[in-house]
Amino acid sequence: MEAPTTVALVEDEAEARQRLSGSIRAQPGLRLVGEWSTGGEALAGLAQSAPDVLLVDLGLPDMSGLKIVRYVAERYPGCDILVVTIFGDERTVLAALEAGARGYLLKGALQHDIAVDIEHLKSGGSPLSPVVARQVLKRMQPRPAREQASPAAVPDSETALTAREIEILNAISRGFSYQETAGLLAISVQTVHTHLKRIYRKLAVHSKTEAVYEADRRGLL
Amino acid sequence: MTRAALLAALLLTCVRALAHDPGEIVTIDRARMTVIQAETFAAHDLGGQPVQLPDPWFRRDFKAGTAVWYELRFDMQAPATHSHSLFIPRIVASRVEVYLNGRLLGRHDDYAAPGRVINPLYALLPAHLLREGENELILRMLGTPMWFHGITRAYVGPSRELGTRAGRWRLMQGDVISIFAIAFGLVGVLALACWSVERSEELLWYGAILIAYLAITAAWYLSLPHPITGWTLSLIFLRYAGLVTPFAILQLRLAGWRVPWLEWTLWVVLAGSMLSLVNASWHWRPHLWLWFGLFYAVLPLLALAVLARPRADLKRFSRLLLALAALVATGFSLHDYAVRAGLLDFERAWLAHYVPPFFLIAGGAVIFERFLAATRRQRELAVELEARVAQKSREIEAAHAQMRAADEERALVRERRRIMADMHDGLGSRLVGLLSQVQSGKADARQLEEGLTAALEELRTTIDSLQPVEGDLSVVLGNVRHRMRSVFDTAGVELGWRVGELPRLDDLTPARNLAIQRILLELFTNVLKHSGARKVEVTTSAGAGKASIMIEDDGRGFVVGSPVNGHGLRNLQERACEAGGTLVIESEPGRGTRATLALPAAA
Repeated sequence: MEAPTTVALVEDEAEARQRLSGSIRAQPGLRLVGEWSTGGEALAGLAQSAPDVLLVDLGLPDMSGLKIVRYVAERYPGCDILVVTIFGDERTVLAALEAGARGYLLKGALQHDIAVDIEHLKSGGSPLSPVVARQVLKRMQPRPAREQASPAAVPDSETALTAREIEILNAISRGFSYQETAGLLAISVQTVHTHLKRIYRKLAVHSKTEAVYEADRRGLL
Repeated sequence: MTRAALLAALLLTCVRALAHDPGEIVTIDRARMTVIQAETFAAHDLGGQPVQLPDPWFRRDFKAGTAVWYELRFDMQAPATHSHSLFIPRIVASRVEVYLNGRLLGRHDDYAAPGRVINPLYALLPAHLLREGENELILRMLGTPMWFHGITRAYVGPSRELGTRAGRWRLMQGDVISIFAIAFGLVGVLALACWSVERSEELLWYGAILIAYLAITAAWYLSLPHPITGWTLSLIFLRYAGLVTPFAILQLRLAGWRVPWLEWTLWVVLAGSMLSLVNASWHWRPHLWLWFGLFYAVLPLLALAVLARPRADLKRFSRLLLALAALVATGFSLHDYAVRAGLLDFERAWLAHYVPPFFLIAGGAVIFERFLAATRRQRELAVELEARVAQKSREIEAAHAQMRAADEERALVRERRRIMADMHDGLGSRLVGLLSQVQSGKADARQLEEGLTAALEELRTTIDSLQPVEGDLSVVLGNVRHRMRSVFDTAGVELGWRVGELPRLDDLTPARNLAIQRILLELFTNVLKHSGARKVEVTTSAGAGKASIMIEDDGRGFVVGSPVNGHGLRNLQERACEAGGTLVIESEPGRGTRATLALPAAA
């Protein structure tokens, strides 16, 4: 039997934290290695525990959840991050993905198995909502050539979506599941997951170059 | 050694140069003069009265054509070792013949062509005709119809020194006219070239005057080899009067005085004086020369008007130059008249030759200044225009920003109202209902959970409706499926998803988005709750300016229009209508149901 996946979580609401930790403990394949209520505790605790998966609530009292996501994504590239959000709205989710998260859990809709979510995460990320897929697509469309002349821009190959990736995002934005998307494009689900992982990475890189581009445009560099 | 030789050679050259005797230049300022209408020289003492040279004829009442003889004497100290010459700076006559010691000198000078006004006279004196001691020069002069005849002092001396002096005099008093005329012509062509690009009156006048001056001078030079006529002589007059007249008119205009009768008068006077001079020449009436000459000497003073009437676009510098040119023209002309009239030494240089450049410079300064002023004005205008355009752009930008802000504000207010109304009717009333259930103790935990879950779902639907979908109906549809995924999974109903690309909906506002989402959610919920279907097919289609969503199930179906479910369906159809679309429900008991929501889309 393979080693259980180690999970840690940051959540300030005691009730929600107990529910989450309870359902993690209930899973034989998961092992809870950290449970923190503030960002400060989490950053300190992470140094020791180094979990495979980190659940982060975005609304923490002492710091922005996005800050933790960014920190962890940079410091512990092996750690997959899921953010916990109430609405899963496009703005929050995109910001989390751009910060380096791999997916999100909807608070209050946790009747289903958290192990499934983590399973999803391990294989490519939680299901992307059509609205978010659509926005990712829109955001990563190639910029007009005129604006691309920015010298600080990272070469396109690092962030530009491939035709296949665009097809996948297109299918997801029309509501197709990963399974159906794989069927539509005559590829395996595993391949879809692989593509999605790549898209997430590009999104994170893109957001950084976008910030650089913005800063450059405003004359800050 | 070599250096010493060089130094010696240099010293020798210097000593020789110093030792060289330039020879005495003899000035002859006494003569005897007599009038003999003879063609040839009588080889005797001419007699006649002694006169002092220079001897202008102004006060001598010689008729034109009169032959006047002068006898000049000079001494040679030693036999002539090098060539000697005779130089008379000004000798005005229609013909001059020179005899040295009784022999007529050949035409070995540059000026003594027959029929020419001889001015000055420079002639080589052949060594074999010169005697040690006293020598005798006889000059025979024929009068012209001009009034300024006469003869200056005569000079005899070594050709080398006298030639240099004569050459300098010739340059300053003769060649200078053609040099100026050529320069005028070039500047005139330049002015006319500029005029062809920039049609300004002053440029045209300026160029025309200068070129006319060149033409008149050239005509005069071309006439020289031919016998003198009245026309030839009047060309000399025209060269000056033809320059002064248009300049006077130009200056009047520059001073802002555009007086047609005065201008016409000046032109008529010019033409009249020309013609009467031609006429006078034939009849040998030289006094007209005097009066017309005086008139044109004074005419430039009109230009002083530019000082009296300063124009805003004429700078003081240009006005001063114009006034200076006028004063110089009058002063120099009067000087020359005084010389001709014998009031001043007849040997003084003509100054009127130097008047034209003053006109050239003054006129050029005015035109150049106007050009600069125009350029400056243009530049200022351009700057001003640019500033105005920038100002207008800013204003338009600001107005646009204001309008945009107002639009945004209105949209925000509308949206806020809609959300408030929605919260009030939907989520708000649901929560109030739940609260009262809890307060009255009627609700158990399961009902409470259901109610809260529904409230949360409702909130999520509202939030979803606010997400950007860019008019893409398939994203709205996809999102509904995304929300209901776990519900379908739990119910174990198979969902066939055949959603293709749909045309853009032009006006997919959050309100419409919400309405469509609710209709779709209710349709799906109805299928899951009531139909008992095992399989649901969702198909989209596009065409004829419409986007359609079809939901088919294999459930138990119902009778369309039956009172049991009629109310709910009618309600749904009304909401579809409000969202700008249509909802068609087809069903039969036992054969499933098909609901088709059609919305107008971009073609």
